[in-house]
Amino acid sequence: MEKVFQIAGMSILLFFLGCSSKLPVYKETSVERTAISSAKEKKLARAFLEYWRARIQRDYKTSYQYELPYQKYIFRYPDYLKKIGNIYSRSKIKLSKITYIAPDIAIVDREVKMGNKVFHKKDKWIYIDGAWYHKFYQTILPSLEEAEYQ
Amino acid sequence: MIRLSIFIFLIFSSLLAVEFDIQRDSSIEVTKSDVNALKRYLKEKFKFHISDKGARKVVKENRILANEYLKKDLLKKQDKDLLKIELEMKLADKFTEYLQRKIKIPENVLKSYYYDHREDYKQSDEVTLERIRFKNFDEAMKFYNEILKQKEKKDHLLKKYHGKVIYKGTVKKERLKNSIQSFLKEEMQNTYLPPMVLQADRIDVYYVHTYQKAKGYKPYIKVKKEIENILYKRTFNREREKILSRYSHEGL
Repeated sequence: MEKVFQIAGMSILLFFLGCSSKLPVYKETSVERTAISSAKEKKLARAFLEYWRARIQRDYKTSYQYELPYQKYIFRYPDYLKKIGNIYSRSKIKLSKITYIAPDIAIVDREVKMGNKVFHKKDKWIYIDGAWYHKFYQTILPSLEEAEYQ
Repeated sequence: MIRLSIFIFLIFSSLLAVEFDIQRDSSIEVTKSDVNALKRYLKEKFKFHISDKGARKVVKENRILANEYLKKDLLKKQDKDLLKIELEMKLADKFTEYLQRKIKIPENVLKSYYYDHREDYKQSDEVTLERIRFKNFDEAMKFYNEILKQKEKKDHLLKKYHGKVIYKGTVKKERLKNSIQSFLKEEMQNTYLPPMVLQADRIDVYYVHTYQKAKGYKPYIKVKKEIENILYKRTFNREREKILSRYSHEGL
């Protein structure tokens, strides 16, 4: 029962975070302002900031809430923890561009700064019933395409 | 009828044992329910549809052979044990599936799978074609070779080589047999495919009038059930473990 309240609480939090107008400012994550051109994209930017901040801070309970619902259905939280690794701790991540492969499926280009090195990676985000969800990629032997998203 | 009896004994109300026995029939008879069972089995296992008459024949033939096997006392204990293990595995899977399907998968879980796998749910390409049946391979081959050179003489060649158009229409590509699908190419039109032998006296030549590339995706509502089944399969082992944990007091 406690778990249900936790999940419901998190969902309400995500909803309100999505509604407030100003994007938060974090030292770990940022957004290229010119990449955002609508309220829906602002919502995406917010989800991106929160999600990657959580990953960087190893707050996997929060990042898990943003993963695609069907992935959460297949991988319960303990399985997620086993897969997540912590390759992004101490990095800085910036949303640089949003493109769409369908109206509700966005590919986000992100810049990952680790020390003085910059890597260019991608994210897949899907908009379902008013909220953006992240596609979690983590395989031991990813294809070249998958590696771009990890 | 071969009797497959399952007895469940409750010993001290906690130990569960499945026992079964196979005995030969006193007379060979096939019921409507046997026919339906075989039809369901072939459909689920091989996506194969069979007529009632065909199913009845197959059941009867198998029953005759199975009874002969039992009459000659060829079913040894170790074979029986193997059948028992197979039966138990099936019952265990059925029970897990039964409990798993009682829990409804939330809509946003199903929708998220659909959006993430959109490419798997593309509408099927469509082909407008004619199926021309021949009774003889040589004639089919001659027809094929000649029609390639003189397409305008189709009627004449059909008559000459005793070909008959048995189907004309538009079908979804995915509904055609793989052997035919492998010949089809996008933007194909007015093309004859080489003769395909179904039986010694049933040879088909397909004439592809047009090939229309699919536009768009199958609607979510149409594939929802399919997605549910995929997710049930993906979480089957976890559910099985969960159910089994309830029986930990039985020494698991």
